[in-house]
Amino acid sequence: MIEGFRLGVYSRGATLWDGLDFAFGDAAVWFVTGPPASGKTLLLSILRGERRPDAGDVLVSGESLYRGNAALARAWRASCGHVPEQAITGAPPTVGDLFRRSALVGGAVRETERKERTDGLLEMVGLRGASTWRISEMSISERVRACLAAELLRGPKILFCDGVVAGAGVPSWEMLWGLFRALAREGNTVILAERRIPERWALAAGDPEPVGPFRVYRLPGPAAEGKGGPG
Amino acid sequence: MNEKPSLWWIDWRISRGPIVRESIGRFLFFCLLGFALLSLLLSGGVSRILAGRYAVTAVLRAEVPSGEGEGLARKAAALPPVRSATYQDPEAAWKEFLRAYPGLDPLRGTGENPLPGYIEIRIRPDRLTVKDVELVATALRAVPQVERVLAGEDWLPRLLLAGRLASWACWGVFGAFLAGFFLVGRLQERARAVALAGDFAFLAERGVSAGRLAFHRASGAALSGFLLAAVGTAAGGGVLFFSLRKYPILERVIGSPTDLLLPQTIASAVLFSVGAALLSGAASLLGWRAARPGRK
Amino acid sequence: MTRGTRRILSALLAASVSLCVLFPASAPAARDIAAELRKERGRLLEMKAREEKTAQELTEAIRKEKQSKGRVGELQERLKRQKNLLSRIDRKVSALNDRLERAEKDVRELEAAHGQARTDLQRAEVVAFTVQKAEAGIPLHPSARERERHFMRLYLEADAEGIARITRARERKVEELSGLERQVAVTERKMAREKKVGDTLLSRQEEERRRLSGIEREKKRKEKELKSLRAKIARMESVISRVERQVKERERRARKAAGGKATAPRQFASLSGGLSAPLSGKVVSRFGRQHDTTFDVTIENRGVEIEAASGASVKSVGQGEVAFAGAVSGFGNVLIVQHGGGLFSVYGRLETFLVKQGEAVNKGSVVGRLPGSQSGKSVLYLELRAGGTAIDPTSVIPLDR
Repeated sequence: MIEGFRLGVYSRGATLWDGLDFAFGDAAVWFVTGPPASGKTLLLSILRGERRPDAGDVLVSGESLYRGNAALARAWRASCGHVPEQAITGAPPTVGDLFRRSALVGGAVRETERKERTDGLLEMVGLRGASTWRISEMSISERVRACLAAELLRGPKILFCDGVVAGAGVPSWEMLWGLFRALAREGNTVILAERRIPERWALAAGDPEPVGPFRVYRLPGPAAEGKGGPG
Repeated sequence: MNEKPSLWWIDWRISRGPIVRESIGRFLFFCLLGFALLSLLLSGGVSRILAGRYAVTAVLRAEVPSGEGEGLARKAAALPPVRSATYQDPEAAWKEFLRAYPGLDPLRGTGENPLPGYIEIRIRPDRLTVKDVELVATALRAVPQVERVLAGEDWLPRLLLAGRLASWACWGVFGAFLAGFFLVGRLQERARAVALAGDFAFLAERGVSAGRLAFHRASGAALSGFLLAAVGTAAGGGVLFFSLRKYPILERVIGSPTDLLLPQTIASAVLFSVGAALLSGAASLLGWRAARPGRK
Repeated sequence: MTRGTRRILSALLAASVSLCVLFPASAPAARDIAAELRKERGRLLEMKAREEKTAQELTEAIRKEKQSKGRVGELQERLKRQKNLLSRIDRKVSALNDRLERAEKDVRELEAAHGQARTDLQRAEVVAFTVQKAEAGIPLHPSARERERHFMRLYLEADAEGIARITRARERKVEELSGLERQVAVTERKMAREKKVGDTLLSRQEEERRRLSGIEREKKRKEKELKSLRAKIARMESVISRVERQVKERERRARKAAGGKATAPRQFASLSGGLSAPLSGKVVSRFGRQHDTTFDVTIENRGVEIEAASGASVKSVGQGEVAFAGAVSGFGNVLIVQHGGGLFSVYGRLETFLVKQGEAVNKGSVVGRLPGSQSGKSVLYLELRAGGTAIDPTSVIPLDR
């Protein structure tokens, strides 16, 4: 469980938000929406332990991410999956390199395993045989999906996705819906940060919880479809 | 998955091609540098060349017979700074003199050879100093059969100074090449760090600290630098060994090939490899640092 | 007067004196004989004088011949020496010329060697300079260069030393050459002088030879004359001998007529009182036949000549009576002592008589003195006769020979 207590951020000479509390339960798909420049990416980076909040703290399973053991924070970050809004930071030449890069983070992903699972994961996100594609020649949606698939290679317990739904495009929403729900079913937690939630997802999630400038939706799992709300 | 990712040989795991090309380049470079290092170690810079060019001449009195001259040469060879002492009888001195002055008529009016026999003393390259030369010259002057000792007291200090300067220049060139290696290595590391910046950023996002990444990269570079330097120096040493055995002129200038197998030579090669490792590690760190301006 | 002449005259005198002593107061036949003897004696004396003169002249000629021969011999000897000297000088001149030639050759060779050595030295200096200039800058083998420059210095020094040696040798040779030339000049002058001397000697020798020839001719003439005189004297002696025999015969007849027995002549050994030497001296002319090497003649001496101190006293050899004391030409003062029984002792060449004719003397009585001479020596002629026959005085009187 990820909890944020009294989080506050000071950015570009002004307080962006302050005193926000969050709680993201495990084995669920969380959807955080907010207007542009509201600090969604910043929230994700704080939750991932990448950026220290100017106020407040983040607890992961009760352990402080910023005021506790630094090794724990590093381990938390290594165990998280993250699909950034720009999809690929410092893009490698090919999709295969993306997966190789992802495998680096996961110490237990061997070369042979990676090669075996790469095609499967790409197929899962609708990029069949895309391991040799050059990133520079792919569309945004393809890049987002490839990045998502590369993150899934490591099997992260928590997956942070920033602008993945909007980036993947409407045709991929169904796939993503199914994928995220499958991940939640497996006990993983997915936290999405978007400008808006697809309508269907919103209907499925129910009323969101307003947290500062954000709206937090909890997408139900397959058993709890139709019910939403933060945990 | 909470396992800490292994960062050993991270660059090799991310991008192998450039690593292979760089390693090959570095290996060849270390071959050349190892060849140069071992040559300098054996020759002492230009000491061996100077020792081959310099000799102390003990001009004997005219009445000294050949047997006595050879005996004196043997005694001179026993002096500590002396590498070799060769006796030349008056006939040999005369022939050498005529070769040096070809315009002279060998059939002189008097028909006599005015030149006496002499002993040519070669000093060991590592003992070619003014003090050791003076020691040898003084010992020879004390011998009654010696008429005169020609030790080049006038020009020897200049020669040794020039030798030292040349040796320093040789070592300087070597050092320059080593510094060049360091600079090039740093640039390569920087370029690689820049090329792999995305990967490193990816890793940094995933909790891999930059310091740890830099440490592992530098350690890998040091270890590979050590191995490349050691193997390259060994290869260069092998080439040098066979070259010295095949070309006697090289042996005269550089030294004996068996000297390559001396413990001090091997120790020097190992030290060089260690130095190369340190330089490689430092180049990696500095290149990483140069590639990350403003990066946290 | 030569010794041989003296012997001859002694013999004649002895014969004459014997006759006079033996037959002092003969009969009329004896007066004839005496007159004949006197006549013969006179002739003999004349011949003797002539002979003496001839002999003297001959002696003089011989002396001159000897002298001239001596001079000729001396001149010959001198000429021989001169010739030898000239030969030696000539050889010396030849040797000096040879040495001169060799010395000149040596000087030429030394000059050539000197020139060559100087050329060699200059060339060596040029070579040394050229090589050193070509090697200006930093040499590749500085020690070898240093050694070669040192050896070049030794080479040049040796060459210079060689030139100095040649120069000194040349100077010595030139000096030697000058010395030889002076020696040759001196020797040639000496040779010319000696040649002149030799020519002079030759002319003198010729002159002496000519003189010698003259002397020899004179000598031959004198010899011939002497021979003729001798022949005459021999004839005279035979005449005297004949007369002696006649006297003896007459005495024998006279004794026979007187009824006396012929008494055999006595011997000196039986003379009462014995005999003693007339003086202290050495016999220098012996009794009997003597060969005169000067005149190459054989003379029979009837007595002996005794050399003694000049002015020595002469004593009678035995007891007797002075039968004669007077001068005899060629013998000086002669003293004859008769000892009876036909024994007579004759003392010739006395200076003074210390007894008179007819005075009795004893053995060892001083009867006269020898003359003085500058040499401190004088000669006594001593003759002993027994029965008209001369006997060797040394056989009966102890005389030092």
